[in-house]
Parts: sequence; structure tokens; C-alpha cells
Amino acid sequence: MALRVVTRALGSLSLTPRIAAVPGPSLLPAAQVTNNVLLQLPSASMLLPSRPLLTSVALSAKFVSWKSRTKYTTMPVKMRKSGGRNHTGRIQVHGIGGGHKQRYRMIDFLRFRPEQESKPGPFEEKVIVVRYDPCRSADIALVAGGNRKRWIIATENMKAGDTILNSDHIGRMAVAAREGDAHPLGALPVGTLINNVESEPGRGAQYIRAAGAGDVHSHSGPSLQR
Amino acid sequence: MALASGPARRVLARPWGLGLEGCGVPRRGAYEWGVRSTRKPEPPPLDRVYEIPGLEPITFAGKMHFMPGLARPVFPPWDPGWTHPKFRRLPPLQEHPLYKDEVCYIFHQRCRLLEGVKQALWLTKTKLIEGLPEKVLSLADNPRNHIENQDERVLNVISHARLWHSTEDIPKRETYCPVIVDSLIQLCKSQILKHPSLARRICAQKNMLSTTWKRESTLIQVHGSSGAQLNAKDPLPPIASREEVEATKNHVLETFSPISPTISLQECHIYDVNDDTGFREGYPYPCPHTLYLLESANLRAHRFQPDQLRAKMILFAFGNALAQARLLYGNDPKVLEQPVVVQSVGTDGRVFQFLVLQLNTTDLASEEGIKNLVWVDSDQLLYQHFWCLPVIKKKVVVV
Repeated sequence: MALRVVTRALGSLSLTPRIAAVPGPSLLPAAQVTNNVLLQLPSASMLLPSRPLLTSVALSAKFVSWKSRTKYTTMPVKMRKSGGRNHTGRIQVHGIGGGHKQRYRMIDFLRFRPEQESKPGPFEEKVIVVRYDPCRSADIALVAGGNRKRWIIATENMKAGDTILNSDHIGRMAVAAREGDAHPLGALPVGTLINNVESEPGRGAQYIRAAGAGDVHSHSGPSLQR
Repeated sequence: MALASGPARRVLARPWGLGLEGCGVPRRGAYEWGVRSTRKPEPPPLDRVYEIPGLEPITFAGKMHFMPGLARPVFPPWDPGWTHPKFRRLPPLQEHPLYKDEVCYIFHQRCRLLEGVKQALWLTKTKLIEGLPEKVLSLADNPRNHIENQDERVLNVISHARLWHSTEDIPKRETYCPVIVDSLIQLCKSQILKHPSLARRICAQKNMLSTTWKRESTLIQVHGSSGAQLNAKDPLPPIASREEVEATKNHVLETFSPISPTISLQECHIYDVNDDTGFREGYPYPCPHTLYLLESANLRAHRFQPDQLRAKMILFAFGNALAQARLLYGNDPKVLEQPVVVQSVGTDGRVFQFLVLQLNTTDLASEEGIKNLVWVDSDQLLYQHFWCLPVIKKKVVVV
């Protein structure tokens, strides 16, 4: 679009004023036309009033993110590596790039996501397989519950055939936490090792997701933080 | 306030934490798939002039080019009257004549059941028995039924399919798997002179089967074509006696909570409930005899696991049996006096799975009652391995 502006602006330029147009340019040989032009040097007052012109245009980066899929699927999805480049195409972070080609497996970080809105309570899921994920340091587990399957971050001793509980209920007594279960922080006893923590309920896990990471649940008592 | 410490104090100091509307709802929801930059950009908003009612905005429509200061004209959408087939969109699902509100779980030939045979048994209300029934095994052991030079001929069949059949050095599974199955069926057909009743059978391919049944308030449908199908003029005799059939009443089907039994099936709102055996009325060979399911994909990831293949065999054999039973005895769910028997063979060119299914009842909605029976003989190797090229060590062929 910018190019079109430039060409249109340049097209409105002419070396001779419009009133005194050169008649029949095809009849005159080219050399004579240029001589005529050189003799009639236009002064500043004869120049047509024109808008300020843009004679150069910046090339915009053709960056389209590969994250175009809107529906969740357990099949691995092709991805494009960034190489440390940002949307302008320039390197923003050095040292990134290369490595084996990877396919992205869509991980569901919101553990408590009931399959249907009509059944809102805590629910159980079964671990089908725990496998390596090339996109992160942690392993991932395929869990199935109801009619759907999804990938989640696998904890250390998770294996195929385990049953895990996803709950949003906080009772008066602290829950006897098993490995792999998901509870609100208010329901867990102080001192449990936790990972995949979300800062607010419904946000999705953003903290403590890497392999080997695990934090001790430190504060108890009434607090608005979940 | 003085008792709160550390993070709690910071939390209480935040304005949204003090019981405002945003308390239960997160400030930002969980990640939604699809980056905003890849979504279609919304159209630019109309000029403010159009918000004034009764005023006709002056636009540059007549000038045929943009003019700053004049409003952007809004043209009526143009209907070309025709769409190129490349850009045609399907009408919304609700307008399809076969759309139904009740969801149906369809099993087709690419469905890999997560729980395998257990899930197939629950869906078809069937009891599993390991090993083929004695009636069938006695047929195989009877020396009168053996083909002359049986071993040599089968070895020839394997060599033909795996090596001699095509011009490539190492034929791919897509080539040799159907060739093996066809050659073995041809071997069996060569016994027509000894057993003339074999002539009352015919091999059919690419027939579309479709049956629907209700299993504990969920509608399940089997739809699709299984590989080759052997049809006969006479139905197979029932294998299990009445006592064994009555004994299945006490059998309890395995459940696998928290997984729902309809996992891995395709949920669909557009389906046809009518049964279809794949053949028209008056077909001279009406009774389904044996189904042959081939797993002939080249890549191991595209082939079904043996467990998933057995589940697919059970479901397709059951679909055929149910369609035949409904054709003979009507659509009412009831216990059949004459059980319908269908056999099935599944293979990937080397490992064979055999299956005999006896349909005792079409009453599948309830959990109790008489169950159907299935005998499964799994993972039978026809041959251990087959090397197409000779092994050469130090320029000498190793035998």
C-alpha cells in the first residue's frame, strides 16, 4: 500500500508544467526532447503545488505466528521455531535457534476443567501413558476422563494406570494429598510439595512447571490467594 | 490487618481482592488456543456520521476514489448468484435433514478404542472366551479337511506375497497383506471339489454396513466398510448350547471408570438410524459368514495395535450379526432362539487374530440378562520373519 502511495505521488510529478505540454512526443526524437527540457529549467514558482511526498517505504516483516489452531487436540501439531526473532524479524534474544525439529503437543494447564458445564464437581481421570515432550523439560501424561483425552504435565512417580483427582473444593479439614492430584492451595496441608501453580482460580498453571521443580506449600490460614 | 503478613498483606491491599465483582473470576482466563494475530482482523468501524439517524452522509462514492474529509461509503453486499466450488461453505449443521438433537457415537473403521477389547465387550454386551470353540478347532484338526501339501503350499503363498509378487526388492505391507489374504482364501476355495457346500459362498468387498443400537441410554452406531466379507446362502449353526447361553446371565461386564465407554467414538448429530447390511433384498447370499480385516498401512504408527484390531473386529462382526438378526426377526429387542453367528479374521500380514461371535440377544439397553458370546484366538503368527535379501558376510552368503 505504501508503494502504491509512492508511485501515485511520483506519477503526479512532471518535468514540464501541464499547460505547456510537449505536443506529439512520438514524432520528436528522444534527444531533442531532453534538450528542450534542459533549456526550460523550472523555477520554484513554476513547480505545481503538491503534497509532501513519501519517497521511501519501510519493509514490514511478514511474521505470522504458527499458533493458529483454535480447537484442542491430542495429536501433535507442527510448529515453527522462532530462533530468538520477534515479530519484526530481528533477533531479540541471542543464543536461541537450531536443534531437532519438534512437534507441539497441546498441554492443558487448567487441571480443573470439567468436561461439561452441567457437572461442575470434582472429577477423576485415569493416566493412559507418560511420555517425553520435546518442547519442555518435564514429561507429559495423557489422561482420559469421561469422553475426552488431554495432555497434562506428569509428576515424578506418575505411571500408566494411575487415577488422579481434580477438585476445586476446600473443606474444613486439609485433604490427604496424593501425588498427581489437583486441589486448591487452601485445601492442602502445609508442607506438601506443589507444582503447576496458578495465581488465581481459573487462570491455568503458570508457575513451577519445569522438570525437577517443586515448591513447599508454606502459608496456611485464611487468605484470598488460592 | 496487623496479623496478616507477607503475601496475605499484599493480597488484601489489592483493590480487586476486597470483595468486588472480579473476586471469583480470574483477571485473565486460562490460555485459549489460537493466537490473536492469526485470527481474521475485524473490519474497520464505520464513520461516526452513520450514527446520526436521518442524516444522509456525503461519501466519495460518486467520485470513484478516496477523498479525505468525506465519509467512507457503505455499499450493499453483492450477491454474485454463484459460488466457486472451491469456496463453497457447508450449510449449518442444524439445517441438515438428518440432524437430530440426540448425540450418536459412531464407530468407523479408523476408530481406535482406548480400552480396546474391554470397551468393545461393554458396547456389544458380550462375554469373552479365550480360544476358539471346539467345533471350529475340530474342523481344523480333522485330517479329512486338510489340503494336500498344505505346509508347502502355504509357504509358497507367503513367498509369493512377500517376495515374488512384485518387482520391488522388498514389497511393502500395502502390497503383500491383501495378496496373502486373497491367496489363502483361494487355497480354501480349492477344496470345493472335496466339499461342494463351499460353493454356496461368495466373497464381497467394499460393502457399507450401518447398524444402530441403544446401550444404556447412549445411541451407538457401527458404520463403515470392513475389508473383504464372505457371505453364504446358509447361516452358520449356533456354537454355544442353550445352557451356556443361559449361564451368561450371571456374567458382569467390566466397567472402566472414570473413562466413559463411549471414549474414542465419534460424536455425531447427523446420522441415519436405519439398518443397512450393505446388500439389497433378494441377494442370493444373504448371511454374513466371515469378515476379513486387514491392517496394511506401511508405517507402524498408522496400523492398529493388536488389541485395537480385535476390538474393531468384535464391533464389525457384531454390527453384521445385529443387522442380520434385525432383518430376520424384526427390530424389537428380544432374546433370539436361533442365535446368529459371524466369524472374523484380522491380520497385518503376519499376525492373525481369529474371532467367532454369537449374537444371543438384541436386548442391549439393559445391563442384565443374557449376553452375547465371543471366542477370540489372538496373536497367531503365520511365520516368524521373512528376509527378502540374502545375508552376506565377507562376500559369502550365510544360510
